[in-house]
Amino acid sequence: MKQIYNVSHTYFPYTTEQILSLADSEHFGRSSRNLAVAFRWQHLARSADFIWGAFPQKDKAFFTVVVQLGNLRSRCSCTNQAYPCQHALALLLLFTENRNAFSEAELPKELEFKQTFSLAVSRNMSTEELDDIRAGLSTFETWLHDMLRSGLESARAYPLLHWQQLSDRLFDARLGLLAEDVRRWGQAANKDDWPELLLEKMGLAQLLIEGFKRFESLTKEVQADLLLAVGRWPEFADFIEDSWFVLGRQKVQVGTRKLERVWLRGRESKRFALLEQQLSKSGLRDTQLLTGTVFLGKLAFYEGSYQMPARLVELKEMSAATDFGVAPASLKEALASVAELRSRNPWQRVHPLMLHGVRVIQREDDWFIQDAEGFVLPLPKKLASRWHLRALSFEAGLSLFAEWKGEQLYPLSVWAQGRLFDLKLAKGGVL
Amino acid sequence: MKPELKKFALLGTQHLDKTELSSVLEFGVEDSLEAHILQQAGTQALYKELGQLPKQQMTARVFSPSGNESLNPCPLALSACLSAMLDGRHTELLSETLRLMREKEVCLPELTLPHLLDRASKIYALRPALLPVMGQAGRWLAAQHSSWRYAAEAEFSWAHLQDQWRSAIVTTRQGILFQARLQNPEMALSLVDSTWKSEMPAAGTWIIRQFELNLSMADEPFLERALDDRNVTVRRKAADLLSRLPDSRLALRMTEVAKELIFFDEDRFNLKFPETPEPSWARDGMMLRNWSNPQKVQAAQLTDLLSSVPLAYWEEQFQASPQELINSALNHQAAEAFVRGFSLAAERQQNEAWASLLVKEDKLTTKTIKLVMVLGEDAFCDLATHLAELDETQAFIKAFSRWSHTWTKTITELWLERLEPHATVLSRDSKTVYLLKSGFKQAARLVPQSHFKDLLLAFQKLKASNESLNAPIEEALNILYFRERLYAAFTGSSFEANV
Repeated sequence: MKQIYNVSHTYFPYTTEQILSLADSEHFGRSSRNLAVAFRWQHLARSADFIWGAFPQKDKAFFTVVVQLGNLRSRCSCTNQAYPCQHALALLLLFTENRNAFSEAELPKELEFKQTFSLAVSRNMSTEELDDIRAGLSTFETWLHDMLRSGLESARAYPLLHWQQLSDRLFDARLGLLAEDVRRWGQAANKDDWPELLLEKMGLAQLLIEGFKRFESLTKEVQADLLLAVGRWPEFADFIEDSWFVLGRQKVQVGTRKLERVWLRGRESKRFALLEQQLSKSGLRDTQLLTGTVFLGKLAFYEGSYQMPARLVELKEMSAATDFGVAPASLKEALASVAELRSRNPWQRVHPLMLHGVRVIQREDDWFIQDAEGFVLPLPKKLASRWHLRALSFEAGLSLFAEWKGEQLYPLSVWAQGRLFDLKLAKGGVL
Repeated sequence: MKPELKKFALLGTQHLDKTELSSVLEFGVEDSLEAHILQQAGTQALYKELGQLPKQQMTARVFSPSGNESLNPCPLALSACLSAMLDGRHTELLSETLRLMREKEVCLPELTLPHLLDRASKIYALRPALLPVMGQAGRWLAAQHSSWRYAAEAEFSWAHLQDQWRSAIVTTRQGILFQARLQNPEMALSLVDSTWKSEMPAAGTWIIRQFELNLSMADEPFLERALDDRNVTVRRKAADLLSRLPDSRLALRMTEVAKELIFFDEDRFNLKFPETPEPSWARDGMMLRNWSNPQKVQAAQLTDLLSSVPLAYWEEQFQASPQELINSALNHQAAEAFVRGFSLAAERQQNEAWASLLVKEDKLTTKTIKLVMVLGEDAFCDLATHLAELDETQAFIKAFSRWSHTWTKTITELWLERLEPHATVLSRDSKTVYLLKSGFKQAARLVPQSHFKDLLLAFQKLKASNESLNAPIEEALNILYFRERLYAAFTGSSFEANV
């Protein structure tokens, strides 16, 4: 199945801030800004769908950079592994701020993108693949039981390397998401309630293993949940066309892979969707979707108990979001919706929360989101944007989007000054 | 979680009797004990999570905003410009932006407040520009962070300041003193006086420097006492500051010394310095020197003396105009010392008449270049015209690079008129091309909005005729485009850079 990008007219609704949100880090964004001056480039040009240019190097061949405007995919001949690289980012910044620097032209043939990729085809899991998973989980189960036999007291003393090595073995068995979870188990040893924490994590892993033992007897939805929990893709269940609001983006590392979680919500269907995109320079697969934009398009949802993980199939039109939409104002109501989703799929690790009319408060060193009734949910202590959210809480309540991971709320974006602001761009908040 | 589960898990199942446990945990003896414990733990974890509720209501300290917002909200385009500046791009334009915001009564967007509050807590020179555009949100936010309180108080209260002054860290104290000197110099003086005797030498150094701001005769008694401070930097700075006050005791003493040592006869200066200077002169800034060359010592002492005597004295005492006095000084053997001394005096006393004459005569060497900032607009235009007529290209460009006020129409036209011939001359020599670069950037930064197009056209014309200047012109154009965006943001018009 091919992904189709029919951006019907060239519309570039992005602000400088949105483009900068593509940067790998603040430092990366800053160095891209420094390159985003017209006189440092040669042969800047644009067509209806592309922009391109040459970035000269001292005594070396210049870098050729091309960016497709509709989906912000880019290609650059530099060796930087970041995606987009700083040259592509700089070119986009330049286009955002100074379009007249680009002359109109036809994209040269040698710069054309080859769009001959396809989506991961959804298909039934083969017996061999299932056996592979079971084999990997069986080894893992043995290790879990050994740890329980020796007692958690001794497990507390394991160095982080021990957990890393176990995680590596799970990666080798292609159980990437489970491996990533296990890698973090070692951090539980530093907490006050560590025996309970560790036991809970091990318990949930055991339930997962039990699920795979009974795999064939389960419904296809639950089978899909189990596959997603270990990092495998089930078949597609549904294709939905809607206006999708890009609510937030979060970069994550799974083993050696850099991924990006993109949260969407359908304006009509009111469905949440979670896209997981690989940030890869070599692959031109992935479209850049920026927080605060709305696009008309189609998503393919994977099978599962409540079908949130999805893939982008078709993108037609892009525009800037003009309102936040309806969201619960009560934290109790928001958590109840999470509980309902979690009861259907206990292995979904992270949940979307759209909240309206909330404020950020501080009590000594702790920070919270508080609703109008006074109920609170904790924020991470070192949240870089906490003072920005506090500032926005001045007059009216906030409309924000966050990830809920069971213990803390991680705000990703907030509605401010008529647009959805990516909180990753909040400056100078860590104090 | 059931306490026994935790207990078994901690101890380790190898130490437990499976048969006994089977009845406690309700599982079959043939089943895996470990699997059963973990399944129970997992189920209970899920149960706990599904029943999770937000924490109980808690009251947080409420900060009540005072008064309604009187400033206008910040346009989105202006927010984008501010974000760019906070990101390190064109930060030199931040002061202009804040000034425009104050003039147009626009307040800072909330998302920029933490960064700017934090920045101004360290760079306190930013505060006068920042505080008027904080808005109610800014003051509300500032009250909640210990480092930002400087922005929270509408007016200083003595009790609050004193408390902070005694206990805060150095950077906070520096900010307090700076703000106090700005808003209430009398209160600032009282603050300093209250702890002066117990201050460390390093503190004394930065404290005395702050007296430059809003210096007045009210500070004279304190500074006079500081002439006897144990810290040599404090003593010297005190002497420097007192020289700026023509009615200070130091200025009067130095005038008396001048009466004994410097004479003016038939349009000529005569110096009668003793071989051994009076030790008391050192207290007032005429430093004792152990150099082997007595002429050099005398020249240095002459500079010290001239810089401390009110300039009006020379005119009254010798019944001569500043021009006549400067001409005589230039004809003297110790001309350099005279020029240095008079320049320092003109700078300290902000005397435009003397400054104007000195820069013209000296053509902006290191002795007089600082005097450019003493000049008002008319005097500066006069200087620039004079240098242009004499074809003093380097001095002309240097004068403009030192002039850091926003250019007026007259100044802009003067610069544009001479741009091309000067660019041709300076670009030939690699040693002087840097002057052009800084000159272009200065122009882009300071030219008024009404002349943006004129500057753009001038740059484009120059680019076409002199390719070697492309890079510095483009750098300057970037600044100009950004300023265009900034001004467009205030009017709400869309911006398209005119390349």
